[in-house]
Amino acid sequence: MISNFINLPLFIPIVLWGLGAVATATVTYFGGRALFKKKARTKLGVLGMQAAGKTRFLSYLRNIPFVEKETSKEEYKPFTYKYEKKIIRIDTGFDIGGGNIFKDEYISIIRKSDIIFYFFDISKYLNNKAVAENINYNRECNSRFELIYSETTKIKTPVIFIGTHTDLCPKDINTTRKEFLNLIKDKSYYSSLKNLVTINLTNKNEITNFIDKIFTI
Amino acid sequence: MKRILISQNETNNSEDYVVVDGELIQDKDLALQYYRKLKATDNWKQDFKDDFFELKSNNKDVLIKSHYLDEDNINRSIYYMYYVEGNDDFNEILKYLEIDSQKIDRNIDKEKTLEIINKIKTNKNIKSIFYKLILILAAASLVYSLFKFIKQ
Repeated sequence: MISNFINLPLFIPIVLWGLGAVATATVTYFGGRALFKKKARTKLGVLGMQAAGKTRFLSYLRNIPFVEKETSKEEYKPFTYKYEKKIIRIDTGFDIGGGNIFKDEYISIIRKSDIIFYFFDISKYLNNKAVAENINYNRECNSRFELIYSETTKIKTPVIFIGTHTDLCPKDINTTRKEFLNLIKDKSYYSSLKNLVTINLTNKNEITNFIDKIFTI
Repeated sequence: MKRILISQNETNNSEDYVVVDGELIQDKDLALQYYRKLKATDNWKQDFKDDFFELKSNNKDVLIKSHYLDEDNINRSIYYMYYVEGNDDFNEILKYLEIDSQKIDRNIDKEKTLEIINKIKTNKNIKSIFYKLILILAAASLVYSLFKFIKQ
């Protein structure tokens, strides 16, 4: 009994340090904020470039088959995502296309959402072959990074940037990430993209791990 | 009758096509103004929706969302959104949709679209008959109750 009391002052700081380290590691991974607050329904903002994987990601979450077709603007009903014993209730929202015209929806979606997912094709971003097309893609992508960064910073909404199509990248993931970060190192939104998630959305294990990681926070 | 057709570029270069009353709009700001008109349809009544076709309406204004037979450069069906103001005659809407789509070299699945529209029309007719029947029954029961009341 006496020895328990003697060890207690030492034990408490160790436990607190351990909990703090775990919390810091997980929160840092997704940009410094808790992602899913305890509320009845979480509102997702799923944005991104054309053919980057927005609809595929939503289909997986909603547990519905993915159909290869370009999206215009489709409203989805509230749904639940079950992960082990956790049930995450997702609020109704819009699956919007990646064309320029839909950028007009960004600010309104960002302001209404609890968390933002931004998808872009990292293989296309780093592709040096089709120069003109590549410059346009990167410019458009950068302009959206800027918009999302400035809006989410203003209202402190967590955002996850996701670089998809890693299977089409000729180099390994670490080199791909480094190359990408090097290209944007002087941009204002660099800090937001340092925690970029890179993924091949056609690989079921990768998408499952990614989603599970999000929902464990 | 105002007609706005919005569709994706087949090369996925982020540029969208906006065709207004049969004219392809080149000015990006103007195109955006027309897109904003379509945004107002978010709150409209949804008359029908399946994997291929969505129909919304508000009085005599109509919005159709569907996909063309044509595919983009990564083999995905190309979407379109078609907004028609002040005309809910589907034969005419389909005729104009085909004409406006030709402007961007696109083809609708006419047979499938017509089939769905006819289904919607039939459902509307059934609904209308059903409501009329309910109205007749309600009126009949009211008359019967009144008759019974007077008789007492």
